[in-house]
Amino acid sequence: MINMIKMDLYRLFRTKSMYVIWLILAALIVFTTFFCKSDYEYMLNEDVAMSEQTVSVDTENVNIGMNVELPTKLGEKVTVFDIFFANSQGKFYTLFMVIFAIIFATADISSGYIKNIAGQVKSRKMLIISKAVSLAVYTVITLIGAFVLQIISNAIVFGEVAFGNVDDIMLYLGIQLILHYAIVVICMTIAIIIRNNVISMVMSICLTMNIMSIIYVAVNKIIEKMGIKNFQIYKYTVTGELSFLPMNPTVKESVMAACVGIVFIIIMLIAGSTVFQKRDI
Amino acid sequence: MIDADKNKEDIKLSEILLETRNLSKHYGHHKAVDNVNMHIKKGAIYGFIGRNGAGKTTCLKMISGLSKPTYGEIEMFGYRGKDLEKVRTRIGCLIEAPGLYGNMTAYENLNIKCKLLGIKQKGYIEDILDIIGLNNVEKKKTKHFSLGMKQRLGIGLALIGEPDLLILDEPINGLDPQGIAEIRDTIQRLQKEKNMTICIASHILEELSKIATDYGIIHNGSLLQELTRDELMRRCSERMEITLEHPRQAVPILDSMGFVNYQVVDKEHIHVFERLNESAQLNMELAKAGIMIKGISIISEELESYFLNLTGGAKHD
Repeated sequence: MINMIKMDLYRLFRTKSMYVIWLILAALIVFTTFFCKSDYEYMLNEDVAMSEQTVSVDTENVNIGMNVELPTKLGEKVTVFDIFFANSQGKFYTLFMVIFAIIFATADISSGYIKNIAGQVKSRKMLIISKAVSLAVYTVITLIGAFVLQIISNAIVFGEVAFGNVDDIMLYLGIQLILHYAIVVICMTIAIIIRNNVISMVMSICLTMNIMSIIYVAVNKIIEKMGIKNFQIYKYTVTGELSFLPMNPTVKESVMAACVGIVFIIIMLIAGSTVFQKRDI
Repeated sequence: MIDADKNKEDIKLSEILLETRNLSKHYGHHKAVDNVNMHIKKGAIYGFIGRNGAGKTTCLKMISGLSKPTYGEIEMFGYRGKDLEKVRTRIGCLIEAPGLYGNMTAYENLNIKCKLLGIKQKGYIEDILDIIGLNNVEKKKTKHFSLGMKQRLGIGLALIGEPDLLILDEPINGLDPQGIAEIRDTIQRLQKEKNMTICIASHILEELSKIATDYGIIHNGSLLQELTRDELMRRCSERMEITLEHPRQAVPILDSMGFVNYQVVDKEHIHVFERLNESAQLNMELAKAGIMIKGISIISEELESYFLNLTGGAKHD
């Protein structure tokens, strides 16, 4: 198992697309920070509700599309946490993560390299687990990297760095790491099961763009008709938790979000590895 | 005398490195591989012959652990069933087109598999690159490799971990004559120097005949025949074919006449591979002994026509 992880990590750090995605993400983080500043200044002048960008169709629960809204109140400083929160909630980081997750997860299958190794391992399931471990490393580096870059961007754009509440940041970052990793694993599993890069990519992007909220609304209505009042399915989904986790979540909200993420990670790993073990290569 | 069944008896169980029993793979109603009973001896170069779509790749995928049989069993290195997991690392395979990461160099591609097998030995990858003749490609990405270079790198990947059994599926496909010669030399060297057992699937008979020590002929998913190089050469070489009702009765006559290189092929035929100009004399001696002879003829076959006759290829093509 350790050797498999070493192999996948070696491959991870030699995959050019990872660095390309990081570069684009970095450029966009700096760009959006500039955008935030101009929006914030406009808001101060015009006293309007601040919105970084919104391409949306309203449903009952979640906006479809990428929706990044700064939580900063008028008169307060725009903190690193504010922008990081807005980007996390808007699934800005998620989008980049899932694109790479699919590229990485299917690279050995689409290149045929898997034929060189799959017959020589004791259990093919472990190949999926090792991929998941590598993607965990990728998720941690990307999200923490994005946070660090946000600090730098704030320093450049605002001329100062205001962090926000450090305890809240740590808790929020920890839960977001679990949730982002969960969605990365979901997309990895979709790609492994479907075995088609394009369809997997489209499905994953749809997930990050809240397309699933249409289904959530339908499910909520069905459940409501069954007599269960105030049921909200998004509270039990990773994309829902990503969108609705508050900046300073209560213990109950934190535990719930973490549990949803962990349950999805486990289910997806079991599904992906079982399919991969049984399927012919 | 050479008995057709004798060769099979000669293959002692301990010599067999790989055996399949009723190995089958069905896709719906289509039987891609049907009850294949294969025997690969230790140290052999087994030529797995069959046309495109005959079932070679499916068979090799099952042996390599890439595909699960619908039913049947594989025994390798004395292990079978779930115990096969214990010997999976002793197999190296190149199935169909070589699977490579195009954005990586040959070294990096090899290194990935080394990491999987926990190989840290210094100079190991360089040695593999030497064996496959790719030690001069340096930082060239494999997407810029020629087909021959990719095939060689595919073989290199199969060689990592020094497998006891090397499975190569169409390794010379698309190669130029020089590339074919290089691959052939590499395979022969590996078998001699490392005592590797090699199974090569191909439909290029001429090339296989230059290196294979044993043959398996597959057609429409069924293994039609397994034979040694000597047997195949004998079957293809010029010979006297005697057709008679009870071939065993002729054996003492042949012995008394001093024939040693002959074979009772089946219930009606004896093949004699020497003194082909003495057919009249032999005919007379058999007649004297009261043995009814239906016919004596001198026949020979090219390897290709032998294969085509066996698989009914001439009719279809």
